[in-house]
Amino acid sequence: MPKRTDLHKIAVIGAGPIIIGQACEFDYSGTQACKALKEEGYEVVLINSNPATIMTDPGTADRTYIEPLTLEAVAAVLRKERPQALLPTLGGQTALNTAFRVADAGILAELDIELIGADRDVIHRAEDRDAFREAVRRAGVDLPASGLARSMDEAMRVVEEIGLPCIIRPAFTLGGTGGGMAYNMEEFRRTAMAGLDASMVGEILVEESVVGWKELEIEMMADSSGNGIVICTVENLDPMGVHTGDSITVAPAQTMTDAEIQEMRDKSLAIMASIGLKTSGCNIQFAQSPQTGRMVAIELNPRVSRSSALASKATGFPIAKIAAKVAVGYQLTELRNDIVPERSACGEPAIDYVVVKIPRFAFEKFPGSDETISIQMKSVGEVMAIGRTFKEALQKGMRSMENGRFGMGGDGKDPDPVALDEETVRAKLVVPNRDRLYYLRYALERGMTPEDIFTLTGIDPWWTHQMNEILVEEKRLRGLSLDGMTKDDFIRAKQFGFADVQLAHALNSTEAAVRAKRYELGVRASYRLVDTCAGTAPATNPYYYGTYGEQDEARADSGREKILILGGGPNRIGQGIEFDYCCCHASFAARDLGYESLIINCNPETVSTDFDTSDRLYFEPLTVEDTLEVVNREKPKGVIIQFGGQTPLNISRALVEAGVPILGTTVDSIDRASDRGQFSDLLRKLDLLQTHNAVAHTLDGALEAARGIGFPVLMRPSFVLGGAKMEIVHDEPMLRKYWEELIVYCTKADVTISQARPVLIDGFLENATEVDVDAIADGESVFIAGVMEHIEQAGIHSGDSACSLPPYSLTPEVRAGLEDATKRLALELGVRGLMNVQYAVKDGLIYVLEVNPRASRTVPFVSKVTGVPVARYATMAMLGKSLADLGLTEKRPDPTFYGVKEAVFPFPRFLLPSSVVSESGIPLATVDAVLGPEMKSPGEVMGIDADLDLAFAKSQLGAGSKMPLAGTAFISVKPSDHDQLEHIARTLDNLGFKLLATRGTALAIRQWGLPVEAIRKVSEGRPNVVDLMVDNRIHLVINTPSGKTPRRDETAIRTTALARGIPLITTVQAAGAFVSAIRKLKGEGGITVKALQDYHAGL
Amino acid sequence: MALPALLLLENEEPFWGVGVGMEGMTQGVMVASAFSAGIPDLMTDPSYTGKLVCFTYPHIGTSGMVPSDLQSDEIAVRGIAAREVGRTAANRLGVEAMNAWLDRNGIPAIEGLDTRSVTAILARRGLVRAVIGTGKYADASVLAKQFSDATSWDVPKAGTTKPYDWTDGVGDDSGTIIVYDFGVKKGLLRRLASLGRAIRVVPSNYPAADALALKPDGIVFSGGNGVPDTRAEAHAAASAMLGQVPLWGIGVGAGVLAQVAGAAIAVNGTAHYGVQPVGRPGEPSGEMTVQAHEFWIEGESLMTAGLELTHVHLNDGSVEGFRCTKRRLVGTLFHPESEPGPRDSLYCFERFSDMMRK
Repeated sequence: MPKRTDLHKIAVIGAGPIIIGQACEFDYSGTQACKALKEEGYEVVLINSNPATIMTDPGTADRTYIEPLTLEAVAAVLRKERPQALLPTLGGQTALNTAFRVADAGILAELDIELIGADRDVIHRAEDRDAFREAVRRAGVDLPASGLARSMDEAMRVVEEIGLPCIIRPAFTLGGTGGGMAYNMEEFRRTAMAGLDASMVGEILVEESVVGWKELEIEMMADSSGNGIVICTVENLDPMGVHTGDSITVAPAQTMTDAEIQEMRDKSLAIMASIGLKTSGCNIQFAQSPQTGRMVAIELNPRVSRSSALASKATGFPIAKIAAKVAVGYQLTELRNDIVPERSACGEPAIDYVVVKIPRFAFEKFPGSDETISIQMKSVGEVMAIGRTFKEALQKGMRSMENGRFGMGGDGKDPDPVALDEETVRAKLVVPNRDRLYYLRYALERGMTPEDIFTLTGIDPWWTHQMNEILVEEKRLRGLSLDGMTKDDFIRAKQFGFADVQLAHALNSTEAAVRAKRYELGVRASYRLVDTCAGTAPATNPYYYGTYGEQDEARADSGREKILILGGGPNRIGQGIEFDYCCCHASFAARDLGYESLIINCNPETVSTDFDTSDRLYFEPLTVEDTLEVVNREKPKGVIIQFGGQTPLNISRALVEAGVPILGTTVDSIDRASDRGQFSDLLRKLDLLQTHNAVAHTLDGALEAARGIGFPVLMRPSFVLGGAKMEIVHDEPMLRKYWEELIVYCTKADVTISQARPVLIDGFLENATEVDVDAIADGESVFIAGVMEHIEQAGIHSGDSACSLPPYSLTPEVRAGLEDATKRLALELGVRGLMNVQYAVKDGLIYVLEVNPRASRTVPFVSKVTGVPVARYATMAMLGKSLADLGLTEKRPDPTFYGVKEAVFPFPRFLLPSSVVSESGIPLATVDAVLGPEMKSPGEVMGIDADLDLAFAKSQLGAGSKMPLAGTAFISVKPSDHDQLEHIARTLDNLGFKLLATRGTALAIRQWGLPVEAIRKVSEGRPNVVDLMVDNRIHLVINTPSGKTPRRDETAIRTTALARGIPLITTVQAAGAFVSAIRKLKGEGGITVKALQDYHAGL
Repeated sequence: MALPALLLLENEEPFWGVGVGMEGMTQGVMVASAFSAGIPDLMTDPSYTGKLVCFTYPHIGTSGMVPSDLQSDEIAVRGIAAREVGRTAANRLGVEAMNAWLDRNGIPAIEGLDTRSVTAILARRGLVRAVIGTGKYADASVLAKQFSDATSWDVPKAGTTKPYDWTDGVGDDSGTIIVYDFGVKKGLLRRLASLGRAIRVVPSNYPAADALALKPDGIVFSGGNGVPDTRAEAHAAASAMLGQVPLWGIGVGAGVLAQVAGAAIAVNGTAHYGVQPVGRPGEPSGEMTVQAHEFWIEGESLMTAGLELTHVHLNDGSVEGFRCTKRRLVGTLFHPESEPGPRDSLYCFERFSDMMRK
């Protein structure tokens, strides 16, 4: 059965914004799927709210709708486009849930649209706990004992039968939100209640605990004639009890016998048949008792998942592409393996290396957050490493993490293991946490055996035996000297995965000396192919990993010049998909100009690590050492460092010093923009304004400086990147408190504030408008790509602010001033490529806050709104094209529509799931949901509409916020916001909202002659505002932090809003926009949709 | 101190590594295997008798040796080349670490090897003669001499020399299946036993008359080593039994039956070892099979032999299965019992059972 000819137009749903548990892997899978469907001649309609994706580039699908993934918006797109089929299996859980809702609302039936990939019943059987268990049971596969509950009464009955400890899993959620472990009844009650709330259908599963069991995954692909193949098996180093997204995972499974692997395969095929899953990729998770070998099914994802992306990158098998093809009717036996042309796609990949995935956390962004990990996913990104052995892969993975470490310790940053407190070590092993890998090392160093560690952790001794082998080798190296190192010693060390930095530490030398000696002995990396067939047949794909002491894989020399693009490494907050988007475009552009494009990256979720994004992909850590090895092999004409975010910038200086040719803006220019002194000189030279600023390294110095500048001031340490410990300080007591906390922070991070590492103090402009400008320059002329006006005032990190393109309130004079300043900055800095400038505008004056002569987070957003492929043109400018060549000499008129970018936040992740006692039923969170100068958002959405308010409304809906059109609004704002509140309160009143406010705010509202009811704060007794929120009697919360220190009252309100899903607005500017949007939505009776291609046609 | 070790492939540069297991020298035709688990199972598969195996996956034998998974009482391969041989028995069922098991059984092994480069040579050249020397035998000039020593390259024919009854797991139904043993795996015997009949294993040169005298419900020509021409000892019996009794040939056993039925056998091409995808003509379904054969049946000759094509290799289109309903004959070049490997082909046992019933 070849592809279906009854289908012509197919709609694909994307995954929406990047959130914890759903990252850019779905851009990768969605993009591959769209390409595959187009290749087959189908017209592809795409719906996705995330502008920072390759998938939403106007060329990826035929019709691209950047619209919120709500029932209403998706239905509108379907009504407008009338596709014959909807493919929901490639956009993560979001797409699956959305499709399910659309199906249940009868829209698919009404429009005669078929769900392909997975139909409604399949989704139901896979997602509904009860139906899933029934299907698994029918397949004859064992499950943990369990019971379903739809109320607390039922939950209590179930737990009585199953006993403690147990796991609570809400039905229909994402990444385990609202789930948790319970070891005692109190914890059980709490977690069950949270779970019932979090579930889309108010249902939880209470399950026998299999914590500590071996966790296994199998990645399968099925077609409609019942063929099922295993793409990859995965064994988690962390046993059950840690969410697989937070686990260190290894492919293929290491400690299983073939009989066990085949048992798992047979069970998977039986479950798939029982669920009716055909024509899709799927991931099934099992737990196996280490004592008895009993194997139980835990979960099935009837779709391409995070694990699929990993399995795809781990094996080279293009899962999403094949999933799209089987969804339109192809059989696996009819398709060929893209990578090994002489092989069928109906074959199970074999690999001859080991793949290790390590999660990347961002706890440092959320001070006070609980750093232990459990069944609810908390990591924001991951790295994948490929090595010829587990040891090599593990060390490569650990040095890919961008956490300042260079492997499994031994890099001079470990504490003395002997001096560690025994209790701490045990605790760090027993309770899973981010640093457990390092503590495994310390435990081994302290003499614990792998078997002891297994008793404490359930971690299979095989892993720790392997780690121990690394330690033994490290010890051997410590007995050597650099002079005495032979070629064989080097090769051996490298095969154990040691980085030059680690060798320098072991040999009491320096990284540079180690590298020089290694080069002298001719020990260089060799590169091997990822080919799906373990080298047993000739492969054509250009996908490599590095190792040592082996032959270098032969490759065809095209004779073309090469451009190397350094990727962004693991996703973390502030460093996400936007940079990967830019890297992909750099690759496409370089190719189009006739170069061979090469990419280095270690993030398996990305499009940049898809094997056909570049001419050659190197799946390697982004360290100086690993980059130099690739440069040595490829001898590129130039290296692009300005697109991968902070990661390549961090190593750029070292690359320049090693003689690597950097393309575009020089590293000196980049430094000139980031070095404080040089930057101030630059602004003075160009006669541009900057807020007053100073540096200090003592408390007294800081106080004096702040007094000189005038409070409030913005303070941050000069030595931490990404806005850590960045705060707005309003007065002296607050500054003292900040200093105290900073000292604690520094002690923890093992740094000292000094003259060389001072604290930066900037004057803070209150109520200024913040503006972002993106520009492309060729060294001689400058093209203003986009001017974005923020909704929130300056002081909220630009990555966390909503912004509008084009600007909505700037005067023509200010616009002209901004563009002029940007051009002069670009020319003075000699920018070749991209530049982003952040400005604050106050009283008509323009202040320069920051200049980044590199790609910014806003590049994809600007491209989506303006239709100008900004990253592509910037690459071409770097490669010698002039802006005139590119047709970028004319200033382009503003679009006649608005794009609004809004950030999404992970705050609900930090709600405490259980066991923490709170008075009056207020949910507790470890992190307060307020915004500040430090970025907290992992992702973003875009709303686009001819009307600014509707564009804003769409951005809010896309970010997952509800837009209540009626009901009760609760308002509590700080006095300085009262001026701006009047209009908001009046609008809400006009719209028929009932107003509730705390005393101070209510007084103000009454003065404007509006009806308002005063309500108690939490500290004023009960019933109070939280009680009403819990009872669902409040539908909108406007609560701005009172400044200075957040009060417990406010935190309780914000946390409750998050826990109850009540729209929560924490700045008065956003409240204004939100309320206008509600008014417009109400007036229009909803949103209308329009394809990006249609917007761009009007430009 | 590490034991030096050397792998010499005929007409190739030497590969140096570290010796594991018994110090010694061993030789044989080398094949590559992409299994990442089930290594002891594979090494005891008599189809590999006399072979050297190069494992493509770097960590070999991690789970340790699991007695119930072994396919015969002896290690069939003569030596192995690997990246890293397991030093612990990681699986709860493993009773002995891989290195200890090799040592105890006198199997020389070389590790720390660039196995991918070895595999590339094998992929390019097909079956290549190789010698492994460890410890004092790791001497290139000594090993090289082996290639000119003609007699020592003979490989014994796998399979029992005396008839015996397989009793493990047999049912109490009446009737008997006779297994002509070309190197039968315990996995195959266990699966046949599950069909409920008594299992009689006989040598591959067992006279047809003696077999037919037992009035078997069916006869299986097992998989094993060699090619149909080198297993000519069974030709007479096969000819005599064709059409007399339901016959199932597996692996080399299938080749013998096809040859006797009149099909042409070829021996040059890419050997099929390990997991291989197989489809059925005219059907969209495919199955992951386990194979260990280095001969092919010429597709055009099937029709002249009166055989119908039932299975075809999805990569190279070669014949992997045939049948003749009239003569109640089936052949599968793959091993449906797998072990190690996917169990997609277990339906073949049901089909054989049906054939015996008719």
